[in-house]
Amino acid sequence: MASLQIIWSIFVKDLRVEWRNRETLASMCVFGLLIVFLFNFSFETAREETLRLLPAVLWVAIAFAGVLGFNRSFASERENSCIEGMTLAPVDPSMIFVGKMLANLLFLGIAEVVMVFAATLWFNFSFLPSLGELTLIAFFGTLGYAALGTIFGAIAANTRMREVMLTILQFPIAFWILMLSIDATSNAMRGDPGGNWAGGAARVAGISVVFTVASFLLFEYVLEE
Amino acid sequence: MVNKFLFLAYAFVWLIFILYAWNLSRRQAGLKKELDELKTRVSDSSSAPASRNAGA
Amino acid sequence: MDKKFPISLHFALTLAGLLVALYMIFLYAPEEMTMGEVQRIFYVHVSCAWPALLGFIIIFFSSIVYLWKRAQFADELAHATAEVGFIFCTCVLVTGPLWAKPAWGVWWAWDARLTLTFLLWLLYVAYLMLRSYMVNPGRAANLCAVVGIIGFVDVLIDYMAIRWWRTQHPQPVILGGPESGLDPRMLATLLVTVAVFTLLFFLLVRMRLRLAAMRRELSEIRHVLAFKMSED
Repeated sequence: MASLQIIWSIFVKDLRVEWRNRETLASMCVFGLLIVFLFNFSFETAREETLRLLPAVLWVAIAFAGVLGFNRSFASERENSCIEGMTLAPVDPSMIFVGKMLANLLFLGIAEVVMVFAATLWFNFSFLPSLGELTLIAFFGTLGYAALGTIFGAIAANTRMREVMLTILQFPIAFWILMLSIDATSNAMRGDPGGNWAGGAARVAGISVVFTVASFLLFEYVLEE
Repeated sequence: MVNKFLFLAYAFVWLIFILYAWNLSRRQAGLKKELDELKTRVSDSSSAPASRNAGA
Repeated sequence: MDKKFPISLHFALTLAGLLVALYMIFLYAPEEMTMGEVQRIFYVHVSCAWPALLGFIIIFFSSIVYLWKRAQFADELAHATAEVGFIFCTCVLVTGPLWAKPAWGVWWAWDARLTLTFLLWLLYVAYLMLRSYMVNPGRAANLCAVVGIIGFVDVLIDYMAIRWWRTQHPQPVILGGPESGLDPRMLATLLVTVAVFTLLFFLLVRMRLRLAAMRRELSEIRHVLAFKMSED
């Protein structure tokens, strides 16, 4: 299918550009690690407090590292006038959206793995018992977040204060994705005492899907002249 | 004596609406001035007997 | 609408309404037993909350109409409503703490209404910032319409999520209570004030729309002028 090809080529292009100097990925990982480190350093990691703090710490780190990544993703497009190229190309803009979103998703996912690994060491907490559940929650949470980041990154690229504009669009709107992800993660990490882990994950997935679909449908209006 | 918070709340609400209405009228006056200026320029150039034919 | 309900009439009605509302708030409605005078803030607090929400609903529908029909009026309406709605929203956020502190001892509580209003306020700020920071104003309408739509989807999600969250993390009911068991005179005062503030909301939107119409006329005249210049 032509659409899949377009998605794939945009996705691969972003990966290739990133592979050349790996700046975006590096800064996302470092930034995320820094946040996890700061929290770890300032609080004593007795077990109960860890469980209370860790989900929030991780998702805050993901949130900020994500915004960093989304900003850079469109900054390079703008510097090289790729946005005009994308606008003029006779392809369905929504496919461009999917390609870029998947790239953002991948980069943020990699940064998440790095952060979780660091958290395991520093907080002395093992994520293995609930790894499946946590991965699912992390996937859907990051998906919705990346979808919003992609479309807002494209919108903010048209403004004078791009980084601020992206942030101010992203946080009020992605707020509940983050909140519900924190809640579901916390539940899963405790071993799901209430037995309603699935409900939490479904909520995160539901909201993320809604925002992803909305972003997908509206992206063409962002690119058109 | 009127409660301090009650006064502040109503004062703020009144103030912000009055300020906004004033801001609107100021912007409107500015636009009107510009509009009038341009309108006179348009009518001047209409009445001026300058050559108008799209020449060959 | 200008012929059937001229702005001057609208203005006069609003002014009269405000006077009536003021009378009812301060001289007609009884004083509340536990909170005393401060409770009178409640009338203006709630009356600003409803137009703030209505504003974003209007932005949502205008944005859809704009993307669908490319009607410039829809874009102007969205922008005007955003400015006015932002003002009302700010009023809710200022009057809330001014009421909460003397009445309940805390400046703020993440109860349903205040949380929703705060998030709504952030959305208004984002929308207005996008309008002012556009590098190429010609594309502003498109982008703002997208934000208006996604923003409203977020408002709906906020509403549902806050309600669900409160069942998990119940909080003492603050600022939401008075609707239950209202003295009939208080209820009447509240309804009148809400009606008057809604009238005020639409008045300000109309005034702001006039500005947009003038701006449109200005750019049309500039085009005509530029054309004539190129002819000479």
